[in-house]
Amino acid sequence: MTHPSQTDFWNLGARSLHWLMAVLILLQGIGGWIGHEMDRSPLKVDVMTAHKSLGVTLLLLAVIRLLWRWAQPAPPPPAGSKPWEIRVAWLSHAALYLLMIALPLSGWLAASTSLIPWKLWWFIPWPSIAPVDPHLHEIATEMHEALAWSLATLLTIHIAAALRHHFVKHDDVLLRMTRGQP
Amino acid sequence: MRYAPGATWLVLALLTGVQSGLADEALWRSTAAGSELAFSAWWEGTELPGRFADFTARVQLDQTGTDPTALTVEVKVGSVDMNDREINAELVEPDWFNVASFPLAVFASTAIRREESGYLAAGSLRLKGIESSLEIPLEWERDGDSATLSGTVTLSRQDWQVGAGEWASNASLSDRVDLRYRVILTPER
Repeated sequence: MTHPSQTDFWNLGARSLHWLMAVLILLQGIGGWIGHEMDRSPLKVDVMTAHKSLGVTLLLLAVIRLLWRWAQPAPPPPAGSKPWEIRVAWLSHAALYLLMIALPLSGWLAASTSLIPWKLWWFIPWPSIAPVDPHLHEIATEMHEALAWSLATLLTIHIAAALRHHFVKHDDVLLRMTRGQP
Repeated sequence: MRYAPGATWLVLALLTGVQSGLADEALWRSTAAGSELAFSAWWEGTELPGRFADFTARVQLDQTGTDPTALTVEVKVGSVDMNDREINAELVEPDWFNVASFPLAVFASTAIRREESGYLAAGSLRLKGIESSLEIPLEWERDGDSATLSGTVTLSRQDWQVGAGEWASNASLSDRVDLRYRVILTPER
């Protein structure tokens, strides 16, 4: 792996999914926070319906992304990476994928166990994965919040690491997610 | 007139007998166990079930002890339960049941008439300080010292301004609310 090749870069599908989800996850975090802080009102119901709908959309995107990555493996770590860097990078990315699945699932559970009705994008009836249950709802909501803060923390580390690669280590780790070609 | 102690005793016995008979037989009261006052609201076509856990129904029967002649129902509105803490917390607010100002809802019949099947109790429901007339269909089934009062009635939430302010629109939350009741009663003593 001394000379760059096509496989050293993320392909268009992987890059599209990465940046689309980056924007949507940011919006989702802001929307979830706003909904959390709002007083109960019909507007809050709509804000939460948007949050639930975007969450389901992100869950589907995460599944597509995992399948895409499985079909088109990731480029290798940049030359000169230390073993601990490779290990930490692998772990943090595994945790990111895990959270991209677990966070919407916990939200789905929270939405299912609440009586507040919603349809996917106000249109498609979406199935429940559990019956309405105030106790389980509380557990799911707390889990959802804890996972959301975990993701926020990991994303901060993720962004800081990308910037470190670009500005401190001067390698192409950030560029291969932004550019199509070496 | 000749004093007849026997007759006096007879009259007294009859009077107390009739009175105790009336007290035992004519007034019936709901028991908490086995009684249910449930409702369904509708949000964009989705049924949202709930119930009032704390209520008392009283039925007055005619002298033969067969037909109900009066019905009063008192509902502790704060006992509303939709199995969701956020919704339950919202429902006691002024826009909904305003429980702090109006803790009790009362239905009182003015007349009960026999229908082809069961009875129809005409009266009024005072809820949130608003009195509005209401006709409630009743099935009354007596089995000795126990009776069951049951039925369903559809209400318009707007008549009592339940869901006011921001929630007043019927676009998402329909005006229609279905009440279902199945109440076990025993003679009041």
